[in-house]
This record gives sequence, C-alpha cells and structure tokens, in this order.
Amino acid sequence: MRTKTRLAAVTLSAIAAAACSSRPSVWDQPPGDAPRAFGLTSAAIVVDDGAHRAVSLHAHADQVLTATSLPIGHNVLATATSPDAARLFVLAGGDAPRRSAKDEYPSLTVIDGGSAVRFTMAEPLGNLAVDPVGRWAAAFAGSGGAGQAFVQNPNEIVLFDLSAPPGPTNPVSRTIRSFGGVPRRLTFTPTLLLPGGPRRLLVVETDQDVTLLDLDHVSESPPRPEITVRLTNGDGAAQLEPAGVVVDDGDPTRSDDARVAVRTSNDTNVITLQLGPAPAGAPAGGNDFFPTINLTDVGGIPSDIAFVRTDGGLRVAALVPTSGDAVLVDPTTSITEPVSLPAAYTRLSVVTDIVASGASPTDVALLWGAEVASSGVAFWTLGQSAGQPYRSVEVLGLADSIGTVADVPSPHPELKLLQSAAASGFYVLDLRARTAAPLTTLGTATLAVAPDGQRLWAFDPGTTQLASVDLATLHPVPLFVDHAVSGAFDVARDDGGRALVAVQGGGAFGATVFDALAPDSATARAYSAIVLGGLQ
Amino acid sequence: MKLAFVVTALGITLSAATARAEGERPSRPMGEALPVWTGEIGYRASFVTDPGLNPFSPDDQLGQFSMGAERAVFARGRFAFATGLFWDVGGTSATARGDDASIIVHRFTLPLEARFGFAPWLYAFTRASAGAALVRAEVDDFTAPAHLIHSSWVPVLDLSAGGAYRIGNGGGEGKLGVWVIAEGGYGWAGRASLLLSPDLASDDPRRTGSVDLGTISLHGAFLRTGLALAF
Repeated sequence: MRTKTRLAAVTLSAIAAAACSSRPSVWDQPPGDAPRAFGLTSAAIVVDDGAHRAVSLHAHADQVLTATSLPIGHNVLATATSPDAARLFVLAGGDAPRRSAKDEYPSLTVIDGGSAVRFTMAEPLGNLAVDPVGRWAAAFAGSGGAGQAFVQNPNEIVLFDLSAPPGPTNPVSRTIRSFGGVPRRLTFTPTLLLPGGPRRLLVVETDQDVTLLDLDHVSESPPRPEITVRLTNGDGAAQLEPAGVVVDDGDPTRSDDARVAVRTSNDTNVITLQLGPAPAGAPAGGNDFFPTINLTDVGGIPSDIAFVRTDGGLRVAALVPTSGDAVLVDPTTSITEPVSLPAAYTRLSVVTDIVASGASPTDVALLWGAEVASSGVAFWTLGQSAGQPYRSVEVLGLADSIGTVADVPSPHPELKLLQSAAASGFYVLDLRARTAAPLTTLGTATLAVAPDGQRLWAFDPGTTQLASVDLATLHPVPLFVDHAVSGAFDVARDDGGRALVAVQGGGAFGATVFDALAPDSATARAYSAIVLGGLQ
Repeated sequence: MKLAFVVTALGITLSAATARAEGERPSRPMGEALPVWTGEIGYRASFVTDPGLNPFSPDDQLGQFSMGAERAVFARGRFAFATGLFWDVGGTSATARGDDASIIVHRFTLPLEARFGFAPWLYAFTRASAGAALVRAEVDDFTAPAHLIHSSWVPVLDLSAGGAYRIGNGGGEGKLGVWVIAEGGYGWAGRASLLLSPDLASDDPRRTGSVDLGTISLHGAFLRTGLALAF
C-alpha cells in the first residue's frame, strides 16, 4: 500500500511539474476589435501591437495574399505613413518600467518595403510628425497623455534623420525654449532660400508661440539655437494660439523674402514672419537668418490661409467666415484687400498647377467648406483679384455642403473628391471642366483613392458596403464582402497588377483581396485570422 | 525535470517488486507466468514543448484517452515479449488571441514490448512503438466563412518503460486479473503543417486563402497510466 501511495504521488508530481510551463503571452492577447491598418505602395500593413510586429500583407496574382512579420517596438503610441506611402512609422513607448536588459526602450520603427529600421529613444513620446519630403521624422510629447513618463519634458523634440542609420547622433534631441507653451503641431518646410543658403526649417506651433528650428544644423555641437516668436496682438498680454502655418519661399532669386504666415484660433491678425539676414552684431554660432514680424488684421478670425500669387503680386489669402470675405494681405506692406465671397467658405487650396493651361503667373484657388449647402465649391481666380475682385469667384453649386476634399494622383490630377459634410455622398470634381459629378451612398462613405489615380474605393466602416468607382467613367461596381470593412488599400501586386486589400476587423482580423483592375466579388479571395499566423 | 519524475517512478516500482518477489518462488519460468493477453485502457499525458502547440494549449499538455491490446508471443526465463496495437485519441483546446483553437490527435502504434517478471503479479517492461498519427487542428475565427481546419498524418515513435501490478486477490496464473499499468517515456512525432483553411463544402463558390500557423511536432515526454484486463 505504501508503494502504491508513493507511486501515485510521484506521478501526480510529474504532471504538476509539466503544468507549470506556459505559452508566450501573445496567445492570450486578443488583437482588439478594429485593426490598425495602413496602406503602403505594395503592401497593406496591420500593426499587431500585442505581438510586437507589423504584419505586411503582399498581394499576388489570382488574389493570393502572403503575410510577413516585421518587428516593431513594444507599446505602440502613434503611427503614420509617409505622404508617398513608401514608409510606415511606428512610435512605441517601450517597456515601462524596464526591469531587465531585455525590456525595450522607447523607439521609432521605420518600415520601408520589407525591412524595418529601429531608432531608440530615451523617453516615450506620444506624437509623431513626418516630413513630407521624407528626410525627417519627429517625435514630441505634445499635450496628450499617451506614453507619458512620470516626469516629462513637453518641449523636447526628438528628430530622426531618415537618410542616415540609427546611431549615437541619430536621433538628436532638442528642447525648444519655452515661455510656458507646449508643442502642438510640427511642420517641415520645403527648402527655402535663406540668407545663409538653402535651408529646411521645422516650424513648431505651441499653444502660444511659434518656433523655427534650422534642420540643416540641428546636429551641430553646440547646437544652433532655435528662434521662438511669441505671439501677441500688441494690444495686451493675451497669448495667441497658433492654428496653422503656411510657408512660401518667395522670389526664387532672392534669399531674403521667404515667409512663414501664421493664423491663430483666437485673434483676427495674420502674422507673417519674413526670414531675412541676421542683424549685425548677432552672436557667432547663431542662426544666419532672422524673422521680421508683421501683424495684419483681417477683420475676423481666419479659418484658413495660403500664400497666393495674384496679379498684384504675392499675397496671403485669408478666409474669414464671420464676414463671408476673403482677405488678401500684402505681406510686404500689410495692406489688405477684401474680396466678397458668395458664401462663407472655410477652406482653400491652390490648384493652379492643375487648372492652368501653361505656366501661369497667378493662382487659382479652390474654396469649400461653407455651411450653406448650395454654396458647393468655388474657383477663385487670383489673376483678377486686384482689378475686379468681385468677378474673380466662380461658384459651382452643389446639393451638399462640402466637408473634405481629397486629391487624385496622376493621371487624373484634375480630379478632386469632394465629400459632403453630411457624408451622404460625394462628388468627383473636374477642375478643368469645372464640373462636379455626384455619387450618392446609402451610408457614410469613406473614400480611398488608388495610388495609380485610376479608381476610388468607397466603403462604409463597420458595414459590408464596398464599391469601386472607375475615375475615367465614374462607373461604380458594388462588391460583396462577408464581414465589415475597416480599411481598403489599393496596392501594387508583384506581377504588375493591382489589388485591393479590404481589411476586416473582429476575431483575429481578416482580409478580402480583389483584383483592383477588374474588381469582381466572384474572383475575390477571403483570408481569415491573419494575426494568428507567423507567430512561431 | 519531467523525465526525472518518470525515472523515479520506475525505480520505486522495481524496488517494491523485488522486495515482494523475494518471498515467492515461481512454479514455472516467470516469463511464462506473466499474462498472455492484455487489454488496456488509460490516460496518456504528453508534455509537448513545441511552439506549434501554443495556439491550442496554454500549458504544453496534451491529454489522450488510451486503449490497446497486446499478446505475449514469446517467453523465456523471467522475460516475455509482446506485441499489439494501441490507439491514443485526445486533444487540447485553448483561446488563441480570442479565437477558439483546438487540436485532436489520433495516434495509432504497434508496440514491441519486453517484459521482465518479478512475480506473477508484477512485471516491468520496456516498449518501443511505431505508427502514425492523424493531427487535426481547428480554429474558429469571426472573419472566417467556416471553421479553419487542417489534417495531416505524421509518423510517430514511442520509447517507454514502465511496470504492471496485478491488484486484488483474484486471478492467478492463466486467470483473468485486473492490472494497474504505468509507463513513462518519450514520444517522437513527425512535423505536421498548420496551414489552416476554411472547411467549406465542395460546392461552395467562395474563394478563400489559408492562414499559416507554422508547423507542429508532437514530441515530448509522456506518462501513461491505465487499467488492464489480462490473462
């Protein structure tokens, strides 16, 4: 009996010992309800934070999809794609607290094609800004709480030089001088011809001032100081809160007329900073440019601004919805010229390159965003603004108020997608013909333009509604999917074709692949549980 | 650690058997006194550390119902040799990132067993078993049009040792008795694919793709305990 007892005890002990082992924790972490998915040139990327990876979905002929995993940092805080959709940036907070050498530091992972490069940071920062030209990326704390450490420097900006490999001097950290403000938005300027030569600047908007940082000398030691412009309207101590900046290089033959214009959310002034030579006696090692500040009252809080070229020269165009006017500001003299608009448009963009038949010395701007539905969009011909401003605006009346405008790549740059504010439909605007073809939707449509400019995809997030629209014929093709679509990404296939990867949430995520050039539900292929694969 | 427990268990079994057998004298060669026919049912616990099992098991364990029959085909002195057929069936299930995942394994083996009799009621054995296993993996995912499944056959091989002890006062040489059998060892299995596809009807027009969970090899230490009817 004693032997039997011992035998049973040993057996049970062995089983108990085996039960102590466990699988990696990733298997116990559901991926969430909605996938964080992004479209790159040749792949759709699903960020799988629980597994510390990005799942890259590549399309092949016959709607075959293959998945590869790329490692990313732990605890994803922010993600962004480059404007050319070539790269995905994943900002991660790392493991907090770090208890062992295996625990990760905060990092930025740059996914480019099939490779991933990781830059390590010292502290977690929750916001990300990406250079439209592709040279820089910047992480900053901002005012959000994501990834915040116990003690954080909200004015620290970490700059990543994407043209160089990670190293001791890449990234570089800069703390901008603060008068109490906290960075809200970062803007990378194009190359500007400044007195010291061609330069690229980082414009930092805090909640009360604007800072200019010379990116071409950001890694110098000692670093060149940034230039902080405190924003006041001159009437009192009230701080002005920047709401957007625009940049213009001015005359390409001059090095003293680059300008930055700033609008604010709480003041009627437009502030222009002309970047001229540094004053005599400026300390050595400092910046070789200096901003001259100009304030111009436009009669109301501007909702949007842009540098435009008129028949009277360079102007800052400001839309003032409260007065229903646009105001042209001469940045040199601060003289203003109001232009009465047929509706209180709130947004504008310059479309000269598209609508002008040849090299035009003056601009054409597209206006939209008026609350009155019938006001649609308007073309503002700035070549007539100085002499006959009242004849310079042509309205294209639409049935809906326009909320957003999206560009269409070549070969159809003349097209713009106008989404109604009510999101009950959209229009395909032909800038050259000045026509707007309506397309109605049964639900709230999200639009995705194919990078090859040939078609758009409309889907209703959270539903199975999906359609393709040929931009040449505007012929819609309804498509069927089994599960609600979270994102639609038109990607290049390895055989030269194109595919739509419709990513679906729920479970371990799915994807339905269509032939983008001949979309048909009958030839589509559905994939399931895509974040269960590749974890061995 | 797991193997240490197995070896310890065998040691205890053998030492106890030797002590009890010292006071008995077999009436004929011990090997011939051991059971000729054995029918066994029991439980096989396998400890599989292969990462392929992770979606299907939270603790690396694979439990199976075990059933088998053997016949002694040769006996000399204290030794006897037996062969037969075993079928282990069972599986494990878990939640894999929110999805229900399960794996079922049918393991068919032909054992070759060498027995060493300590007494008519106690013997130790070593066993080598070869055969094949049917591995069926299944995942239920919200986005899938049907269960995601994959089945494949893989070769298997077990090497084990154990002991058998007749319980109760009934039985005797050539008579039906109830035996307790315990064994431990190592089981090897070929690597099976885990390329799961929706289990759609053959006439379903939908075109689907597969999800690749990698591969799995169900190798590892195992323990098997059971009861046998033998005579």
